[in-house]
Amino acid sequence: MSGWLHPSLFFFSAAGLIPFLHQKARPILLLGMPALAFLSLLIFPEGIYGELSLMDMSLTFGRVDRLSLVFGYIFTLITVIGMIYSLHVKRTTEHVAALLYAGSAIGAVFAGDLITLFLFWEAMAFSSAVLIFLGGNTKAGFRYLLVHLFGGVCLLAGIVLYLADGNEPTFSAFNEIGVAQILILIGFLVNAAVPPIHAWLADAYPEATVTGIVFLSAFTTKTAVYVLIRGFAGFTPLAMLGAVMTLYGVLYAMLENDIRRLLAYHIISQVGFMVAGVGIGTPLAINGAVAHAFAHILYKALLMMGMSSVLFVTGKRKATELGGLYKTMPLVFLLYMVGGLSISGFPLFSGFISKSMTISAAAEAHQVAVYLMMTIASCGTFISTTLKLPYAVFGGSAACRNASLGGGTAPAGGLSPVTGASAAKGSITVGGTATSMPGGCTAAMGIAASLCLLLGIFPGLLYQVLPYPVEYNPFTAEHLVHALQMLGLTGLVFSLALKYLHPHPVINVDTDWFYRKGGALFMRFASGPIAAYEAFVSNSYRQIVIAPMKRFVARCRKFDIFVIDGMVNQVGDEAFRGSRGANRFEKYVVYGFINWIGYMNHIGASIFRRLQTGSVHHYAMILIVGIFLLVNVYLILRKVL
Amino acid sequence: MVEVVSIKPLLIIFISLSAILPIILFDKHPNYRETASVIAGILKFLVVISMAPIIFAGQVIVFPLYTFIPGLQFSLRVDALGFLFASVASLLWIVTSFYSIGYMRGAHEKNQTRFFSCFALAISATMGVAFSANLLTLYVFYEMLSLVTVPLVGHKETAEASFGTKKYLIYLAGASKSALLAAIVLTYSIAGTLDFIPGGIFAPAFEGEEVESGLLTVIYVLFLIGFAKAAIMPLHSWLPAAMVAPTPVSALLHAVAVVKVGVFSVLRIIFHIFGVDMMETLGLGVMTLYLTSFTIIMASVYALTQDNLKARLAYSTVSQLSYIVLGAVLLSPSGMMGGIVHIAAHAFSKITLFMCAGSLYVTAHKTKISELSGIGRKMPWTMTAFAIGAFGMIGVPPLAGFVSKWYLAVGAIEANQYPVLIVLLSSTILNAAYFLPIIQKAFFNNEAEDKFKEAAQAAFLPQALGADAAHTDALHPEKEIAESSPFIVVPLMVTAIGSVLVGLFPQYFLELAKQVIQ
Repeated sequence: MSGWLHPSLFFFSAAGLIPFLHQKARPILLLGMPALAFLSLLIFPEGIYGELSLMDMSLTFGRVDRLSLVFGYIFTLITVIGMIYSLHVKRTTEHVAALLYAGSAIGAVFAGDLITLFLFWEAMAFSSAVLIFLGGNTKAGFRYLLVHLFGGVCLLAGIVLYLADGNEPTFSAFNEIGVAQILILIGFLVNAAVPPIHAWLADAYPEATVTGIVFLSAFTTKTAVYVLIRGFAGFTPLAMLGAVMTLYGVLYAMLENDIRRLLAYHIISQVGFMVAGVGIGTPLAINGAVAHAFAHILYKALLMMGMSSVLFVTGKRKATELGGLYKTMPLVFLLYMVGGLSISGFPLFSGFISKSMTISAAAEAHQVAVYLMMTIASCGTFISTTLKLPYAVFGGSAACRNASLGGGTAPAGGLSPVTGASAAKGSITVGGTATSMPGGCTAAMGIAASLCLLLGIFPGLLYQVLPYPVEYNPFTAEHLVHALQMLGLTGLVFSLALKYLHPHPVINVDTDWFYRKGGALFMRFASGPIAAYEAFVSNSYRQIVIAPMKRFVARCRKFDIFVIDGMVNQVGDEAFRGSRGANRFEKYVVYGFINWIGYMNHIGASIFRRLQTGSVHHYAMILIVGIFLLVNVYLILRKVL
Repeated sequence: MVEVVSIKPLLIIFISLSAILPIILFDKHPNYRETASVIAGILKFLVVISMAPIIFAGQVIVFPLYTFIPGLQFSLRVDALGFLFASVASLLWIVTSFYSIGYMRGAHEKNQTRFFSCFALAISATMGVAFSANLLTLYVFYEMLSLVTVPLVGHKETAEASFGTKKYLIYLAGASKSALLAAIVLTYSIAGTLDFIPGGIFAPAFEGEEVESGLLTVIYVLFLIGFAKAAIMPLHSWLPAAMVAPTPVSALLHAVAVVKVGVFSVLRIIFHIFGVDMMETLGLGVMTLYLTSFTIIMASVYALTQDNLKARLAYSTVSQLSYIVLGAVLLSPSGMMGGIVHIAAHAFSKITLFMCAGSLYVTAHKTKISELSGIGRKMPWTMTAFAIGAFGMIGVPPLAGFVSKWYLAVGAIEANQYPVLIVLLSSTILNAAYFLPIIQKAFFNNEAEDKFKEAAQAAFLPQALGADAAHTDALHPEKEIAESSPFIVVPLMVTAIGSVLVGLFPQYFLELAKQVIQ
């Protein structure tokens, strides 16, 4: 990175160091690093820097041109202001997340190719989610993150398809619109909170920490505006889409009772002006979109800081529970009103010089519908942000009698479940502990307010950094009359219809209903049929393998018992029977024969015993008879043979 | 391809095999016994890595052992694919050896000598599979691995453990004995050889003749069934059942060694038995694509419903393993690269996650996700590593999972398989949906809040009153949970950092993957 230092590095290094620093040393880094980043942007000239190669692709981390510089200026500037506002925060996680978030947003702005953009895009989603998680309502944070991952996935799919078409990864205006470009556009539009994929913003931002919302309202949507300008300038459907956004946001803001959610809806509305500007696509419109993004970041941060301060001090977030705070928080009230007049486009305030550019561009491009819708939205913005909300919160209305500063006497039951939960956690300091705003908060609001005024009075400061040369003069009689007329009429309507416009304690259904219910339905599906299926598969080895095996074994046993054992028994039986016969044969035949021989022997012996007379004569007699017999035998045998 | 004859592959198998002797001899001296494990692990890794120059030069190492009958040899061969697998597994064995010490002592497990010796045996078998030169050798080591891991899975000797072990053995041994053996015999009868040859052995066998596609498809399916260790649905349920094992086993074997052996074997079949061309001719790639896509989505959806941390991780593993096979069967260069690189990417991330689950079990005695509220503040290192591992699995850039996801996505487009792209990306969201709540609970929910909700629900009290209950509970916390011992924390941090490094510097694995698909 010769000759250039990536501004994100300031943020990331600060984020890495903060946890290891002493409490008192942290502000130096928290403020110093963003300020240094701001200065570095002023110093380094335009050009292409920071080229790296990853996975066979060359990445460009620093494309510095007029467009990216404007966003770089305002992003670094707002980080400084936001950090001043959150100096009192003790939790380092919050600081680290905010720094990473800001750093990734700036990284996305300076990304010269789609892959680098995607890297920072994802980092932005995760780091910003932390700011919402820390607010205590983790479910909202989870929804926020999933929606952004969906957007990221669409973006990734688009990028992969885009590259597969043989395009270079360089991020520049898309010439033709195909599937890949549409997917990329969807990814961008999710972050730009374009209806109907906008609900994450109003759902999650109000749940962020007191200070986190200041960062949130600055980066995500404005990065989206930047990439839309870069890639889709002049893509006409965006003009109508933006105009619808402006009205949609205002409409929901009108109905909203949660003070920060009301402002969140106004982000949608204001981003609508920018998206419409991108869609119109003329140099004036693009200038208008950029200028409006610049101005909007400042005054929206100011407004958010104002309402966050109210939440910080009172612990309450519903307009119907608040009131009369002008007495106790006069400075916050005044500064908030500067923001309010800015967002309404009051002459000499910053909104005037930027918003009128977009509206003029619509008129010049003969987009009558867009022009009208934006004008109506401006009136609505004036009513709800600048008149209604401060009237309800700071004004002394009858509905707010029981609301008291400090909130210590407020019944705990009055807290919404979410705030109650946060209270238990101690993340948002609730009434009773905070009696006034920390000095840093007021200072930050003061800086933002003075910047709003500065830009409103000296629009040239902003105009000279816009991407296209500006020949636009906001302070013509026509513009002034138009603005004052419109605001005056709106104010009149407001004062007449005051009692109908007062906030009501209701919760409005928005498109997040679909993914909330859809998510619940999906989980029911997963833990119902899918789980049953899985249990079936998981145990099917018993039915398929074990049970047949057992049956087989049982059959084998039967075969064994009845056939083989039977045969063996048969043989045994036969053998046994046979042996009985043998026994008898032995007993009667063999033994009988032996006995008989013995008996005969006995008889013979007794006969011979008688023959032994002891007389020589007898012996000689027998001898002679014997010889005689032998001779006869001999003679007979000789004759025969 | 130049072949270098070297005894190193045999040596690698023998190092851990011979470590068993000192392990058993030092039964009564645990410190010496574990030292033997660690030394063997380091030695083994060094020998593996010493082969790197030869492999990266595009050469292979062979070491023939002996011939059964002519044509059937028992021999070892190291190529890029085997080397990649072996280097990952042997590196992670060192880490797991340290981790096992912390875990087994921390959890007061019995029969540690049996555990450590079986572990060494299992690693030997894994290396054997990685270095097999042919199907026969692979089969022998594959079966050996199934058998020596049985005592590890059933280590606790409880009824549950024995049930899990039974299922494990029935699935793995049953599949390999029935389908795999049949497939190998059929392969031999057709091709006349079982060697792993780049481009496959079937293509030369049918040179000039018509390919018997029916028979080959049957063989392929038999292989897929036979390698049940790859846990492709519906043959996956042994893996959740095997989670009864002590966590080091789940970490190294059921996230790296055993399951990767299954996947590795399937890759061998695809690349070196059938060959990419033959796969394309037979249309087997597309068939497997649908099977693996189904597995990826189904397992992820089911993981969503699991409250047991290890069960959720197991189903996540089932899903992630199919990424690897899916990449291979895309049959496009980037897809195959993605699949191969995912072997490493998944290994580093998933082993981290399992080690974290073990750390939570040993130190905090928690196994369920619903009990993890606020644990991140008490065990910051464990849960940080867990977050890194989970981000790796989701594929958040610049972690390891992103590299493989990128290549898989590009590969899907190269292969004109757009549905696969949708599967991959919806799986990303599903991964996020089942991993992020854990991180969110651990770091951003707190216990008091959970109790507060429970109390409010249980007593049907208004939440305001429930808050008091929460306060009293918060005032009297249970025994303080602190971070696990360094033996547990250091290894899991090392693998977490490893998964970051694989993501930042994937060149090593990409280079090897390129050689495989050449």
